[in-house]
Amino acid sequence: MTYRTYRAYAAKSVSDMKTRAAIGLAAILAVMLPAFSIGEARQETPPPQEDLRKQIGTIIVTPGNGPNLAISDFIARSAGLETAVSIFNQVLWADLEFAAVSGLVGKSLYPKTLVPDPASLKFDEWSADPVKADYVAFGNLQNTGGAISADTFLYDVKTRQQLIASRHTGDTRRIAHEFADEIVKLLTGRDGIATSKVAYVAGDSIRVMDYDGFNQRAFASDGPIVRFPQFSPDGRYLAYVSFKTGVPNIVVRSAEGGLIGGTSFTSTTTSPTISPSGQLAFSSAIGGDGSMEIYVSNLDGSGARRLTRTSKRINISPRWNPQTGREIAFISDRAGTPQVYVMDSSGANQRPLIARGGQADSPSWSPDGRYLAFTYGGAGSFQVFVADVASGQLVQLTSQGRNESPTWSPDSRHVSFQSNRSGRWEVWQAHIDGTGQRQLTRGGGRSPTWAK
Amino acid sequence: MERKSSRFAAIIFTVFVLIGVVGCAKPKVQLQVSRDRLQQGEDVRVSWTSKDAKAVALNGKPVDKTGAQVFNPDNTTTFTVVGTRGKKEARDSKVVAVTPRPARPSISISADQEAINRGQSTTLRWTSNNADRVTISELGTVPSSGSRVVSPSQSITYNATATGAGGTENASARVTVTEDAAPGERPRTTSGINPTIAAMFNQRVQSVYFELDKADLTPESQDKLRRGAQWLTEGPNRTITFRIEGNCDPRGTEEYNIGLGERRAQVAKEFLTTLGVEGSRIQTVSYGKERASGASEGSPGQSPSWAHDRRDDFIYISGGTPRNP
Repeated sequence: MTYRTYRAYAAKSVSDMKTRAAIGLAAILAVMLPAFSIGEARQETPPPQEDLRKQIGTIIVTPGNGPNLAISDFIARSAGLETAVSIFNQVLWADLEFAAVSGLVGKSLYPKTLVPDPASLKFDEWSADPVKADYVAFGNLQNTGGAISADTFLYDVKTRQQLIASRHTGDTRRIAHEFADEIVKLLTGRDGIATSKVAYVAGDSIRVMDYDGFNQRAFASDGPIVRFPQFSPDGRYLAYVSFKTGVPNIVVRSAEGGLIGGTSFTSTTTSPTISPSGQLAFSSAIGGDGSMEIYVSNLDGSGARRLTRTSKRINISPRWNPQTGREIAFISDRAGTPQVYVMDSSGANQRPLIARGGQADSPSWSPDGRYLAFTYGGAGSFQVFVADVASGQLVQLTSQGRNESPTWSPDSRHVSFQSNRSGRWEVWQAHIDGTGQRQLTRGGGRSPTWAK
Repeated sequence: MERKSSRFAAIIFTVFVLIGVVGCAKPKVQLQVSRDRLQQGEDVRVSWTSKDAKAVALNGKPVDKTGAQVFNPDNTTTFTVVGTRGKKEARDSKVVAVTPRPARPSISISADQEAINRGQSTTLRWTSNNADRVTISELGTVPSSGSRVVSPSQSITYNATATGAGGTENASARVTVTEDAAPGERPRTTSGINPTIAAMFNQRVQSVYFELDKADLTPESQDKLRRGAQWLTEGPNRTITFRIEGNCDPRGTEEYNIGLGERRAQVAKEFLTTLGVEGSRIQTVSYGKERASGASEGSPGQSPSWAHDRRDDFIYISGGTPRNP
């Protein structure tokens, strides 16, 4: 819950801020990603990739290459909040570190004076050496009628302006996430991801967790095997595959768990995806001519219409472009090995997007429609790659163990995927440039899908 | 004479002094341990030496004056050697820190029905503790606790293995598959499974195996299917309906493998239809790599193996007329 008591920032200061941020961003050097290399006979020489690397390298702010944010530890204003304050401080720091929209100034450099409220803030202490912060976040936690509230502030210490003064009430982790998102929104103008969620397969059930791996909770068990969950672009629905009837079919539920519908075919039906306008697409053998083809239908599975027409081939893993709703990426082996294809959502204009030999699977559009992450490799070795949809250029995101089934953060700046590098399949997370890789699940996890 | 007695006295005196020095010497002991920290279950060698001690005890028990013993302590232990001579005593101690062994994994597995008729199914249930990974033969890696409906075509032992930091533990459950159901024990399902027919079906229509990343029938698979088709097109067998389940080995990706498994089921269906088995009698389904359990190539007859994983299974659904045994 957010209650904003006051927020003031002059148009000028925002534009100053943005200019400064832009200069910082422009200065970022592209992070050198592992070179694209898959030992497949049919592979072509990769085209130059400087452009995409440079593009991606500007998305993640590395320390020293953006505005500097200091986060002064929050202070407990009521007794008994020591644990809550400690959790709040940890969560806020971790959120803003992973958000990577600014440099975080190390706490060891901070002034000794505590800053529970604006009256205690000495601008010079924070703007001068050694802190040299552009912004300072601070505040306090208190017990308000049994609930925990955080009074949260963000100041521009160079212009001495208050940028955020707000109050968040509720679960400690949640209110820290809310304030982190508020800061990200203010610094970038875009929504943060700290309150987003990830659904994934754990054993034979679907679970949901906070974007940082906490609050893992059951979502659905539906028969002996459930697989391939996919959130709708707005996060309101979750579609997945269940083997409940003995034949894999699609199940669609609301994000709260209520059953919306699904398919009940007598032939293998798999890989659901939901369009921004709430249509369903999937792959099925219902055509009866020996192939897996892509179909679209209503969200409840009714009114199925066939989009691909191949003979004795596999067309699978459809993914609706969440930005435009006008294209569907999918995997097809119509020309040999499975490759990434794209078609209009009418089924017209079917064309390979990335065709370099090897084997591709599980494409995933970034929510802004600019990038497509997918699994690529062969001979039991697969990695997550990111392609620029417009140019077809690729960068490799992972290299340790097997890494598959990518999904994008709502802000198109981070990717989650399954990796077996720890010895079994777990859900991991990384920035779009491949840095910041961290493990989210510990008890097994696959097929993550990330939503607001 | 006087001189002689004084020399004698000097000798006696010297002897007494020597006896006094030796006899009253303080004993010395020294204790050594081969390691001072270990994990529960590991051995430690304790050795000691003593000098001028009449009796030596290690942790209260009399031992040789110099020696060694091997211990296997469960907890952190202080080893003390005490050497005594009369009322004089010397001691030396060493502490061996023992860290508890990671809890040994445990596992149990059972089948709801230990004997079933061919074509019937039963539920395997298992629970484990302290395991990082649980595998069951035929099923591959499974959750630490759970259940799975199985329908083995022949008697089989499911071996469950729990592996954790504390070691490995095994358990097994045997499911006996019988050919004939006693009268009145036939499963009453809507499709009317007839165990006699189901058993014959399993003998006549056998699993076929595929090459890596391929959904083409090998000449051997075609021969198997020809034999199957001949039986399926004989007399009352023409009313039999069945399901083809396509499977893949674990090396490919999950989503595409659902497609590959379906293609494998479809090629068998297509081949059977060219031999006169109506397509309307055949359902196909893909399990992708859900049932894969291999860790190396192996051969089709050997489970678990990748070669065994890449297969079509044929499952009797309904129809046919029971014959008198």
